[in-house]
Amino acid sequence: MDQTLTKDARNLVDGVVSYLRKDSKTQAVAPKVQELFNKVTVAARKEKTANVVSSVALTQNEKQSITQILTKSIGHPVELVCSVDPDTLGGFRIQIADWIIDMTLASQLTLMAEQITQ
Amino acid sequence: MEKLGIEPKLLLAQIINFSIIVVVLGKLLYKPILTMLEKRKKEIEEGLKLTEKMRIEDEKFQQKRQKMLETTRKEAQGIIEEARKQAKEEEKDIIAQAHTEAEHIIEKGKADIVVYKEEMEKDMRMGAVDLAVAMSKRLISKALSGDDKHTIISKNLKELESVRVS
Repeated sequence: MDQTLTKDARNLVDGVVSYLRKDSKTQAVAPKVQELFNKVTVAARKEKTANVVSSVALTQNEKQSITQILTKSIGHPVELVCSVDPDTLGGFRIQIADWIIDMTLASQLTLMAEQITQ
Repeated sequence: MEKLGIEPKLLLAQIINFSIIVVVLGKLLYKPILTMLEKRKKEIEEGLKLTEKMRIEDEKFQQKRQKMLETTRKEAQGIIEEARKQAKEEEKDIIAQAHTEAEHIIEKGKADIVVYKEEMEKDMRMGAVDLAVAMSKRLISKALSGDDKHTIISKNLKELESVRVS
């Protein structure tokens, strides 16, 4: 029964994806990283801690990469506070003060749903 | 005359008596009766004249009454005709108004149906999308292994690195 459900679910997801492709909405679905970076807030530039939520525990290399990118973007070193949330499905979300870079699959799905229903 | 039994003296006396009676009666009785008769005749004539006058007046009154009745009847007929005409016009107006209102109701009904249909479609679409998202989440969470998730993170990091910081 679970297999049948999975098959139906795949069909449904395929339908959603094909709908998005047909309406040329896929370009707008993924958040534009450039725009996110351009929105670095004053509060974020003053903050020294970054909360990172991911679907799996980050490796040391991943943490290091994130730290480097953030240091470069806000102008000073930041300390990462990492946590795992399976509901994010994949990717990660960074929050520094009120500045948020959400690159999770869950948020992309939510965006897709919003654009379809608009 | 005596042989006939007629006394000349007696006859003369009777003639005189008769003449006296005629004169007296003519003076005392005949004239008043004639006067009275004349008066009575005049009264009757006046009565007849009055009756004739009244008859003429009555005829005039009847004619006038008839004329007034006809005028009144014509006026009443006119009023009735006017009322009928007005009633027909009002009937036409009411029917036209009813048609207009019915058209408005139909148009509103059609518009409501369109809105209702659109709302229903939107609800169905939203429901389908919610379901699709929920199923997608469930599928993705089951389908992606730990390595897959790290691959996604690497890809995201590459995206971030490629961005120019302003």
